[in-house]
Formats: sequence, C-alpha cells, structure tokens
Amino acid sequence: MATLVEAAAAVSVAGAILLLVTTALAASARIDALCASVGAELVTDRQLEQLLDRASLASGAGPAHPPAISSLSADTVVFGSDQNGDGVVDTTSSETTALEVRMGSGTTSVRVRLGRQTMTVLDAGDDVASVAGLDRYGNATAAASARLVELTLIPTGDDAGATRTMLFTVPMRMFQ
Amino acid sequence: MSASLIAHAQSLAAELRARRDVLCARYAALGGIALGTARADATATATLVGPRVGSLAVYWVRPTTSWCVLRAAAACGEATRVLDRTMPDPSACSAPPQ
Repeated sequence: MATLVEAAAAVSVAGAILLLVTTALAASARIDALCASVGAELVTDRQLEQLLDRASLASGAGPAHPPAISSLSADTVVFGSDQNGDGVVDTTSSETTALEVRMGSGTTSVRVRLGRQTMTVLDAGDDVASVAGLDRYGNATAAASARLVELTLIPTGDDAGATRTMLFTVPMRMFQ
Repeated sequence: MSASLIAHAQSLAAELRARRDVLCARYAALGGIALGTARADATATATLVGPRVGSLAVYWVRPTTSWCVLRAAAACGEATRVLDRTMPDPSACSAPPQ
C-alpha cells in the first residue's frame, strides 16, 4: 500500500513538473516570437523615421524661404528645400522629397522618394494607409499651414489591431 | 529555443537602445533650434535640454551673405541628429554665441 502511495505521489510530482516545463516552453516560444516581431517593427519604424527625417527636417530651408510642403494629398506629401541656395527647388534632386502611400493588388506600401529615386520602406500588407497634414491644433489642414505630417496605418482583415500613427515635424513652421 | 530567445531578446534590447538614442538626439536637436541663437558651450547647452544628451552644439552657418542658418547638432549615445533653421533675418548670424 505504502509503495502504491509513493508511486502515485511520484507520478503526480512528475506530472506537475512536466506541466510546468511544457508551460514554460510555450511561454518561451511566445516571448521569442514577440521579441522577433516587435524588433522587426521597431527597425522598420526607425528606418522610415530616419529616411523621412532627411526630407521633413530640411524642408523649407533656403535663402528664399521656399514652401516646406509643396503639395499634400491623402496619399502623398512632397517636401521642398533649396539646399544649395540657388533660389530654385530642384525637382530632380534631393531638394524634392516625398512620402507616398500606394495601394494596389491588395497590398499597401509606404515609399520615400528622394529626387528621382523611390524606395519602398514599409510593406504594410493589407493595411489601409493615409497621409495628412496637421495644423498647430492637431486639425487636418492644407499644405500651406501644415506643421506636422501624420502617417496613419489602419490594420484590416485577420490581423486587425490598433491603428498606428507616425508624426513628422516641419521645423520651418515651428516658429511661425 | 533558449538560444534563439536570448538572441532575439538581445537584438530587441539593442534596437530599443538605438531607438531611444535616435529619439533623444532628434528632440535634442529640435530643442537646440528652439533656443533660437548660437551657444558657446555644447556640453552646457546639452544639460539644458535633457540629462541623456551627450552634446548639443548650436551655431550659426552663413552659406551666403543673404542666407543665415541656425544649426543644431545633437548627440545621444551612438545617435546624432543635425537640424537647420533658415533665419528670417540674415543679420541674425552676426549675434555672438551666448
């Protein structure tokens, strides 16, 4: 009888340990996947911020004070600057840069255009993406009075989750 | 599994540190521009905008006689950011650093 009780106790302890190990392994796998996905998301965000900072932070520079944002629509914002001081915003060089959202064939991409070069910096899958200009009160506004540029990504479909927004400053407008 | 988890966690920690440094430098540069004039001491200026800012140099640049730029160069950890602001009045570049 005593042996049976001991055996049952041993099986119970072994079962509990097995359950703990299994739970720990499952948690570990979830944390592993989360670390990988959050890390990848942060890298993408930082890359996009860095590339767009090059455009937005320099916009409006130049002795003739060119418009910082030359055009703005729901899918494109175009920044301008006169970096060599010749009085002209060159549309074929990095004096003209743009943030573009393009949707086609069920996929959305966020692109940065530097002069005549365009690169996709974010493949947003089936998310809905848009661009807007915000005034000093956070209201949507036109190119001439935008102080912030907002990129919004709204997840749809199976992975629908929280809406992501990224804001980019237009420094030349900060002190006006 | 554990090796992969450790590698991913380390990679994520490095990315978070990089992101923190980039944001720190970005906003320090904006803070430098907001100061509005050139500053003599980059280290002392850095303390004005945040404890994590390593240095913040704010100085005048005059690309041409009619073009005056206030430039802020900030460094936080490994990250740096440079931000320019074209001044409305080109004579602003004549003001001595504070």
